[in-house]
Amino acid sequence: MDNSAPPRRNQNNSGVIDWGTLVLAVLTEGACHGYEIARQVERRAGDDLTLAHGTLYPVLHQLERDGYIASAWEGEPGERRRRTYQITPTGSGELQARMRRWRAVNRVLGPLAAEGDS
Amino acid sequence: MNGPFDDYLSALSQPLVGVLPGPLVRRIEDEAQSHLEAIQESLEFGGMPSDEAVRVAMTTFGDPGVVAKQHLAVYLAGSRRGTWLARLGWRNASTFVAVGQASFLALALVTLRVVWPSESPISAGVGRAVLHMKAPFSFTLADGHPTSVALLALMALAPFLIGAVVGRLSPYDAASTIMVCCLGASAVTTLVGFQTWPNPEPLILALTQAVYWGPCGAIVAHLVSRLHWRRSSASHRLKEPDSKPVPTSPA
Repeated sequence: MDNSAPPRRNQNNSGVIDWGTLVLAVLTEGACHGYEIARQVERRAGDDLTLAHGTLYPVLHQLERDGYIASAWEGEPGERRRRTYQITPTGSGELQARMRRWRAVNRVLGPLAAEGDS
Repeated sequence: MNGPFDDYLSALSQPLVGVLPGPLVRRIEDEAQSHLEAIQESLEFGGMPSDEAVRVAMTTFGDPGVVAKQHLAVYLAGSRRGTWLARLGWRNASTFVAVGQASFLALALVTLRVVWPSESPISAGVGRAVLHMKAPFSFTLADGHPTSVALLALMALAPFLIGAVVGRLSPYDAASTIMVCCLGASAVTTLVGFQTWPNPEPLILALTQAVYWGPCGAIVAHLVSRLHWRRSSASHRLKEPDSKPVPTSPA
């Protein structure tokens, strides 16, 4: 399944937002658990994008199934366990490819958006 | 489970049970619980009362029905490599069985209606010529006969019953599941109709399955599944994450 062509309507039913690319970009900074990923995405998005945290997990599962990220449970028995996600080399390559495509889209649509703003 | 998020986690996993593999459903529950507890902990650390932190955590995580739907969509979109039955899930498979049973019962009533007066039941493996001898060309039971009434009632009510059951038990994409099942059953009944021709009743049943059972069952299933999702959402009094305004341009 090609889930990399931007822009596309993603699984979140919340518009043409490529959450998968955002998640991959967050994970390039290091392995994170789900809550931390959600906070990083929100921090990067500012007030422009809002995310129901639960919708992050279908995206994570899809990325993991495609081989772009890997995950494992952490935590001792009796403690609160957390699942940590990290990007794979395949995921890094995929992120680069997606970013190239987004830059191409931005070159075309960016000036039009700027004209609209002015 | 005795945690504050139990009801929420049940609402999240209930639509997934029977469609997704058990270990995956447990993983989804565990991930959600871990995330909810992390939000709660963070809010309580900031001074929020525990009850309020639980409520805000559930709101932040989103509508469990919407999240479950997205898990189902992701799973079904990526399960092409699995077996046909694994992709279908036992709930959808049970829909096929339900439609098949209704079809079988209707066919049995058709057969009964044709051969009843002679009291010579059709045995399995009967040849076409023998069947033609046994089955008269015209209906032999009066319209008011209980068998005829039962046949008509079954044909009329079947799509509503099947639609209600499937919409409740397998709410994800219930309408298309019903359509596929009814068209499949119609194809089988058509084959039976060709075998029993010139007795027209099986072909009438096949037509009924295609143009009445399928669309009516799909509409009922769609309505019931929507009601199910709405109840699931309302029970948690969460706002729809879809309703939040989101710009569409790349960052």
